Amino acid sequence: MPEPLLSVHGLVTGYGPNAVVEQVDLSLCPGESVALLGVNGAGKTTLVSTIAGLNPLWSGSMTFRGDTVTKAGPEARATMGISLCPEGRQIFTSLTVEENLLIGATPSRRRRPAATAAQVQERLARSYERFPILKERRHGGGGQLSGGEQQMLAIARALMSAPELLMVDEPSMGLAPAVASTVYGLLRELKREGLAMIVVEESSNRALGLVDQCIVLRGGRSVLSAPVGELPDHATLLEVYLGSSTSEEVTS
Amino acid sequence: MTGFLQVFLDGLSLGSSYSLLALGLTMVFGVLGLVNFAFGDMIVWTAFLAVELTSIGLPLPAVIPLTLVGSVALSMFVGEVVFRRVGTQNPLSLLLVSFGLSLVLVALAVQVFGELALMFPSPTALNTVLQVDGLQISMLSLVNVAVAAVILAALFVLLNRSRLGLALRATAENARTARLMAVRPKSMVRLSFAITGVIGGVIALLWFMKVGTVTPRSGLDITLKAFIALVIGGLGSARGAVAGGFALGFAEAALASWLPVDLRGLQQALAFVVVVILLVLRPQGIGGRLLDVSR
Amino acid sequence: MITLRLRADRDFGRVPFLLSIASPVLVSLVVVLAVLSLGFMLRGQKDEIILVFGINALLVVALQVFVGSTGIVSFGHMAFMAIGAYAAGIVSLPVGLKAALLPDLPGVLKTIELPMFPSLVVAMIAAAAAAAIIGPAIVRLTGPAAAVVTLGLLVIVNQVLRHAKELTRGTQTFSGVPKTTTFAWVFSALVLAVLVAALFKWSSAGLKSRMARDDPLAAETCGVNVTMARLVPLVLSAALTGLAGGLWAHYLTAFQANSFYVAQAVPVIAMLILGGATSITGGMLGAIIVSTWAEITRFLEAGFEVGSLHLAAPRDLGNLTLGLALILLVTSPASRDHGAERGDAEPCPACSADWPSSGDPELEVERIAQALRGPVW
Repeated sequence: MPEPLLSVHGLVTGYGPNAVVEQVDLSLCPGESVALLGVNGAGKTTLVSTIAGLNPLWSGSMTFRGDTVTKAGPEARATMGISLCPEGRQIFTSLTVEENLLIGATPSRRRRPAATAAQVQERLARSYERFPILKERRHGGGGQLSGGEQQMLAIARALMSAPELLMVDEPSMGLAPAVASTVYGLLRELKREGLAMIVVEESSNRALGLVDQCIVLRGGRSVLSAPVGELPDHATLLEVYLGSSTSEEVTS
Repeated sequence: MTGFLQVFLDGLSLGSSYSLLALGLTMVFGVLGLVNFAFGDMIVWTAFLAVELTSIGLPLPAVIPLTLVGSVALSMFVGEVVFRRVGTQNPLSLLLVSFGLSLVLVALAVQVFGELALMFPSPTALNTVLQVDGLQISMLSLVNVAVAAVILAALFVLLNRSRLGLALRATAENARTARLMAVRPKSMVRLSFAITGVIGGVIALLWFMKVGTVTPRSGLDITLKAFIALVIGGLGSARGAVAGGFALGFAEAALASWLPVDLRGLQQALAFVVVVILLVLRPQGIGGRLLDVSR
Repeated sequence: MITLRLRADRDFGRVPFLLSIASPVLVSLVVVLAVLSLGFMLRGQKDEIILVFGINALLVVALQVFVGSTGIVSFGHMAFMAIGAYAAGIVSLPVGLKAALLPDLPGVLKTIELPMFPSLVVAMIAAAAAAAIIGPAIVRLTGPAAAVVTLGLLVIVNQVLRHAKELTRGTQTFSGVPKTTTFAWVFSALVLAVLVAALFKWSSAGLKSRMARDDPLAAETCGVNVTMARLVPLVLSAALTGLAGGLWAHYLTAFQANSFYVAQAVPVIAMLILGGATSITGGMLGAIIVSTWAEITRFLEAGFEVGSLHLAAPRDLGNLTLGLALILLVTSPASRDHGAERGDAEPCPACSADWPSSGDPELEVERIAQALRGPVW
């Protein structure tokens, strides 16, 4: 078994006095991808924000490429190659599309040489190649894009740092099914290129079609963790997903 | 026609000062959410520094850079020790803290420098008044406009053409997401206080060279001008701050020359009346983003 | 803040309601008694000090009516006080003096000489009218922009007062107002203000105001007119501030436009912050603390003899300490950490757009009050 890219052990975090994520373990090899599923409020967004460094770990530990990053801030983690495409896309509306991309290109890298101006330009060109629509709109405001375009910009921005782990929080939220399919087509392409990914979805067969592993969160705890091929049947999955109290309704 | 041109020239000169003032305020507001009531008092302290440096015998070419350094140091110190302790985007708490800071700065200045006005160093060359075709303009006004133009251009380049500027703007809009792009909010707050410090230093020199004397209580007037320009322009918008500054400058110049003599005392009040009317029509200011979503 | 919500949510009947009105009245009684004894201990001229305390308490209660129910911190309430003071002064100045001091008074003003009560009523009406005129501009804004505009209001009123020579003698001292402010007047006014504040707070208009303060959008969808919900407390608050101005005029007898300016606004704001923006009792406590401290520093600044030594505190000690207190109060860990305690399981995108531990900025003032454990009645 290869050395894991990301390894999270016993992660606990929350807001104020309330723990929101409790005792979650997660391990991801280079090029592997995970779907984080769960109902609204299960702690998915909190978990990926914590992995990105936006929330402190209350307990537990986290390593990335063998380095302990438990206490590192989001800035340090970004320079190490962890990239989060946040919930709600969070496009900088006062910046142009191109500026949004440029800000994504973090200048320095730990254990890797800093991205040179040439590299940044190369990545920019690569983004425009991948998303022609962004090239068209590059001098327009980031806030003038449609939802799908914003999602593409958010992913393109996250890719500008040439990350080794891309986390995407609800990529299909608020998008028309056809647009969501385009976004997932893109994610599949990124996976083929060997990028490790964590994809957060409330519930999506699309996500399951993309990933290798699946983790279901409920009430902040990991209630199921399995390779996609070994997932239980739909009814059981639903039961795990929603909790046992509703299982009778499902089976009856 | 001459009258109109004169008003234009005066307005340009006043407007450059006010634009810089409003820019100084808006830099920090964007990143930290602070409307700094103590801005004028910090500028007064910087001016006192220039007075003291001159009084120990330093020539002006040495006083100017040292004053700027002192201003940046004061601004960053205040940012670090006082404002960053409030820590989050809490405009009201920050405003109240700046109110307290203003009191402290004035009281300390009274202690250290006394209540009496001190002469501000002002080279005679700057006080000469040029006369062209019945138009009058002082050298100082020209310098004022030129310096403002240089600073505005430099800031424009910094904000729009450098990664640092992008990071500053990104943080101002959404600090949390900017952190994901490896932008440290702490560094951005420091940067904004440093920029404000440079602007404050420049204003301290230009403003008091024009006025001629400094007192510990000179700060209020500066703060009020800066506030008016800022609110006209709209909080948080650099472009708006510049527009607001020039709007105020031209308005004041026009009022000063066309207002009946017995109403001249109401200049500042009228400027605020204009602000009030403007805000009723357009609460977000000329170039600002809407702060209050409900209206 | 939290306590407040609980109180507001409770559906109380007549008796608890009367109790909730009675408690601030009782508190204001206790406050006045405490001040009475304190003044007695401090100096012989206790009456003077008590009157100043009482008027300060009235000012802070008046300010609270606005700040507490709109979340807008006003730096400009001194303007309403000035208007009240001049209005009361003009209508009550003896006719004989008017001929000498204000020969250019227009119309009926020249010939009237009102006693105390009507002159206070005029003060209230004048301040309220000013608020109703300027109010629509202020209440369209929130947060720092609103605060800046209230400051602008103060500047406008100050310059207009200094300019309107016919009414105010311009920059010269306005003098000769009958010295009729007594303990009974101040105390009655304070009780009235507390009653009005309490009644307003629990009235449907007050409830609407607090709805608009907490969430303007939500309030609007519930049919609340946000502009009115802010304008009503502003006018009410201005009327009470004008009352304080009238009492102040009849206490000082001589004053200038600059007796009501930025420097005078600071202590009142400090009282408010110290006591908590939403708590009337706390506000009065703040008034006591700040007024007492002002007396002490004035005493220290004047200097005193220890044996053969003359000791004097630095000039401006009052402002210096007041400023430091403001900074320390707001930046204290207690008031900072409070925001972090709130939070939802999965923050909405709009919330996560803020800085890590920030909440609603407009509620920050109340949060400070809460963190300071300012008593909430």
